[in-house]
Amino acid sequence: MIPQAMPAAEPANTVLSVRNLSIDARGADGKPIHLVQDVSFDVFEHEVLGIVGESGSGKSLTMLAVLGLLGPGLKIVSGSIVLRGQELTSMAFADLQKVRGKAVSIIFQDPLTTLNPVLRIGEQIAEAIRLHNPNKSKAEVKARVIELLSLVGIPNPERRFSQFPNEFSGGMRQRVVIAMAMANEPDLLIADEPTTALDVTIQAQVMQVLAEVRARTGAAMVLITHDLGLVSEYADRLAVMYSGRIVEQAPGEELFSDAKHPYTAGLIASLPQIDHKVASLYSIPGFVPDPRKRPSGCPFHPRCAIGRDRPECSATDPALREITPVRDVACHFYEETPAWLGQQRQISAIPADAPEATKDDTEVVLKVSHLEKVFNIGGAAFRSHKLHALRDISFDLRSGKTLGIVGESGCGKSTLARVLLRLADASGGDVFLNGAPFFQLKGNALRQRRRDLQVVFQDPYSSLDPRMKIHDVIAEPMRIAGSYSAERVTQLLAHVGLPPEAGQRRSPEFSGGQRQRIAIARSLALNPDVLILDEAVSALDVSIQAQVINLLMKLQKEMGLTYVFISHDLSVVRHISDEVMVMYLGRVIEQGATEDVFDCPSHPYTRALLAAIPQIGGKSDTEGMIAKGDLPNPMNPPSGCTFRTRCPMAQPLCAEKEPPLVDHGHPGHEAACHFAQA
Amino acid sequence: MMGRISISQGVAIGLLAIVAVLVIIIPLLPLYDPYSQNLGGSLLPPGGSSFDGRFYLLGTDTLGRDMLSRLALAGQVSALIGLGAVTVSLVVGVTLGLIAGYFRGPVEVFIMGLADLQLSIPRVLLLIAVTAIIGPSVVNLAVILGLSSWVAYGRVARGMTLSLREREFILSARTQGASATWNIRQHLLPNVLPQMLIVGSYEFGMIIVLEASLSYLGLGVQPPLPSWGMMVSEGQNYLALAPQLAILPSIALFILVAGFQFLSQTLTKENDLEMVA
Amino acid sequence: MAGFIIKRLLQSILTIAGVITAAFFLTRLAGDPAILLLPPEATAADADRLRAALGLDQPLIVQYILFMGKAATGDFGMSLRQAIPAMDLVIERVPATLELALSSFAVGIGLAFVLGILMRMTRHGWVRDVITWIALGRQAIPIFSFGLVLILIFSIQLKWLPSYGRGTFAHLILPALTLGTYELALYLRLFNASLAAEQRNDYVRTAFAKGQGRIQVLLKHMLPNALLPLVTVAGINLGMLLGGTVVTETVFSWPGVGRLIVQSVSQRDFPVIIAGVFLISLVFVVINLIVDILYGFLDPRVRLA
Repeated sequence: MIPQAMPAAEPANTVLSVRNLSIDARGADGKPIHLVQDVSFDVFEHEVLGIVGESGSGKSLTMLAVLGLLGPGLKIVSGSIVLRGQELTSMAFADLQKVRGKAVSIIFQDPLTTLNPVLRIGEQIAEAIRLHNPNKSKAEVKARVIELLSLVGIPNPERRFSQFPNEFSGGMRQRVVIAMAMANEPDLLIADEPTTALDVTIQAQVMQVLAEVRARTGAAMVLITHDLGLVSEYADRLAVMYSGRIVEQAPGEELFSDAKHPYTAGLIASLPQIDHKVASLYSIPGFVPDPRKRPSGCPFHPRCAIGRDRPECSATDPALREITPVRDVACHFYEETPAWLGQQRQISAIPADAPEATKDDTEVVLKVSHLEKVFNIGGAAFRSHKLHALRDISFDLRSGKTLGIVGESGCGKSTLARVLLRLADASGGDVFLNGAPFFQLKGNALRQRRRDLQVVFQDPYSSLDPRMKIHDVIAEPMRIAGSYSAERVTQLLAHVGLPPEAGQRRSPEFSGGQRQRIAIARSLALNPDVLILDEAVSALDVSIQAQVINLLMKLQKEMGLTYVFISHDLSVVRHISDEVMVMYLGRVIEQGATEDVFDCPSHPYTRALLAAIPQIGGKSDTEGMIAKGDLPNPMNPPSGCTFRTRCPMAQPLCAEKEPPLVDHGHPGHEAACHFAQA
Repeated sequence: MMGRISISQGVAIGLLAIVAVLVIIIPLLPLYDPYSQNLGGSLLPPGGSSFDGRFYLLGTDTLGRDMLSRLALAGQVSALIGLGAVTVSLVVGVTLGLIAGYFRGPVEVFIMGLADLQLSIPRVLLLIAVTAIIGPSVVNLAVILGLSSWVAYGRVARGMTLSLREREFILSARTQGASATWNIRQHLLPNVLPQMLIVGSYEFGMIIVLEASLSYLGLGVQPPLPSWGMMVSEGQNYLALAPQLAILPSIALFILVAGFQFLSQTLTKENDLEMVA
Repeated sequence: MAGFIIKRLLQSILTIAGVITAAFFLTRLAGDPAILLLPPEATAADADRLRAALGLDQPLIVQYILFMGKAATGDFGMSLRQAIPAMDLVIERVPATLELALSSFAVGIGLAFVLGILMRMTRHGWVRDVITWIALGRQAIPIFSFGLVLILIFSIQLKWLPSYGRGTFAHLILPALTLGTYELALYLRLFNASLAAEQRNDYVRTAFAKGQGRIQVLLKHMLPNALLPLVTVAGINLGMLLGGTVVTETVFSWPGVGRLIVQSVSQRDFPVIIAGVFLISLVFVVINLIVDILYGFLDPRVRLA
């Protein structure tokens, strides 16, 4: 029904209708770069259309074009955008001004930059109201702003009215942005990665607010995101974008239960699951093509499990065609996709007769006991605040195992990595590496020993010196150690799946995933025992993330590596870890074997975290399990249990006494809660 | 991107070529001695000839000295002082900036305090006071101008070091056992130096102006050695009668300063592109 | 905020102490300060008397403390040429220098502001280019050259404005234009850079998405943010501006502190030089302190920290 439909006969309940939209950028050589190609879709009243895609798919550009907000150098070259019967592409700026903020409004990803830092919150919302209701009195506008603020769940709206954005937490800021977007009860709300900058418990709160205000006004919404779980939970209909075009469109449940495009199926198969463990992830090979060098035929065919070697796929670009009244797909061989996906599921499933993971049979390589870290934050002239970033962290990590460390921002997980690596000094406690004390070492002895403990960081861009050739990047540890060998570099490149020629190029020529492979190769150069992976796959797109996870698991098996895997993404942690540690405000609040912690979480925070993660298929039940409010100020943590201020089951006892980390019936599975569930 | 020359690149190349001709080629030509006076031919306009039939392309000054060869010699003096001063300030600035940024702590507080202190005494005034006391020889000028100009390099070098030292490739080198010297030599200097050269090309113009200002005030290069600033100052008294005396050295200064300004601008742009690409 | 002000105040006091220390070392640069502080025709007996009077026969640290104490009260000794305390001579000239500096600042920042907004608002690329080229070109002309060109045109050729001295508003025009336009290029570049940086922020797109017009987005949303860095840089740049007054005052025979210092150099009147440099630095430090506190009030991120 959607794409090829005649522009004329639109159903009355259509809010937005985009037809054959193409957007070009001006290239450095003057040639146009086709960023969005021939995109058509509709949004109907009351519905949520999810647009999913990896970075560079053109999903955000498409929706910016609706608002006429394309940046300099970008332009709509063809197509039409009709909002409530009005054509927007040819509209004069003055007329567009009347539509923006009134009929359609937008929520951007980062609430920090979306709000103007020097204007009061109230004024920023009032501006949106006044622009479209010039006759409203000052008092009326203010009353409406306060109404909006309370609608999005901001406590004390009268006081908050005259505050500045820096007085709000990230989650509260995004609520303000929602209030601003809803100010004139628009017909269409565009949410562009609205929760990507937020922690998962805050994401759950913000999505709930968004759903509430939408239900109240009946606005339609376009939810743009890279997060398949999020759209699965919140969108009615989905459009999947790849390399500037829509490749599949379907109602939510159908898309996930019965994906027809091999790209959609590949994405689903490469996503680790929170509710069960799989033996391996499928990974889509290669990477999203540069829009200047798009492959011939179907742009996905070089990465496609079904069409890779078929002449038809490399010759003809498949059009998006209707296969049922509610589904469209752009693939020559979409009928084969369900069978392929079923096959993948079988391959990745853990065989029923798989041997139980062997336990505790290897020696402890990394022993951490009672680790403490206190930062002195230099405040104003005479005061200095203490920030207790790590409190009493202890664990034993056995050779060849993976310890997953999870928690939201501010929990101390990255500080822990830095302290373990001795990039920052601990304030107390001890660390033993292969049985020998690591924290007392100094000078040369330290330089020798720290080679056993290596790291891969999150940002693939800043982890490689842009001025060095890849060969030199990987050779650097050997040169420092005085054991350089060119063959070893080639060997390491091969280990991470890169050809030897890659060594002669510099990092700016590589994609994020490839850079992360290079960083892994460098970390392995001196045969370390333990690898700390600090959000090592967090910056990568889903399809690339699966490639790197598979690589890490392969290397672990081959070389007997031990991993400390730090991540905010619980699904990935579940997939890769043998044991898990959950941190909150610098403290371990639950730890144990992965299966135990994920299948029977005992701490309310762990349960809130798990509940907050949007999942593919089936709405997760977050009622009652949402962690309330914001993270407390870590410089002034609550008395007793630090989680009690957000805990749905807090009791008076929790404010008085800090619960110790002890097991509640299952040895090896510990939680720090007075009321932990066994 | 290479191959085509942008407007500001073209302007930079053109202006610097003129400067090169003036300070390198002209002195090689068999022209008049910049010191020899010809009282019979003083204050000649450009293209004028003296009574004894000598032709002066840019005319003569009050003592009948050839303006062209004086401009060329003055340019050499300025360029020499500028080069010396930029070298001194670049070395001092980069060293102090890297040390402050990499080692942090009290060293950084001290170095940046020194920088703030120096910034709070206007450069011209500091130079006036110091040259008044120790005397303005060419070497003194280069050293003093250099020592009073390290702050620009120091601040940029420190800023870059602060952000680079937290970059993950340096953290990772530290976990591999790299020493401070290794990181400074392998990572910091190669990343900081290109930016320093941009600062240097901009500062070169500024230093030349400072030197010219001092000479204009009579506190810089001392006669009989000519300098553009001094020539302007001498010409000021004849502004109504022979404006070219002040205008010609001013044009020379303009060409040189603008040349380096455009050079630093094109370098900045290219560097930015490199970072983006 | 109170903490911030106290911190900046302490910093300023420290800086001034540093300036006095620098002044102390300046007088030692040539070795024996008595030689500096005496007229060339003085005898050896005069020198001995002065050394005793200044405490130069005392240990260096005692001399330093004595110097600090005197400097803190503005006592830099007597002028060698006139029987007046050096500081009094300098203070007499301060109003003229401040008049020149402030009016130049107003010219520079005012022009930068108008041209910067014009460059943002115009739809014609050539307007932007012309303004950029003029500003760049102006920055490449030294103050004294530009001043002389102005004198040549407006005083000698057109006979519209006086070429030297101070008194009427007409006297102020050429010096203020000379120094102000020199500052213009820097302010304009910074203003443009900070406007361009603000343009990339989502709050600009958000304001457009609310239905706000171009001019309102520029003036209401971008300008307050773009002005903040300009305020800081203008403060730091005051040093350059005050330095520029020295040359400008000499070109236009403007009776300010800078001209006094330059004249004192040729008369080898060192107490006056040191007092002048110290006072201008003091002015700079104080103005900078005020600017920083102002910045704190303008930016809620600092004010509420």
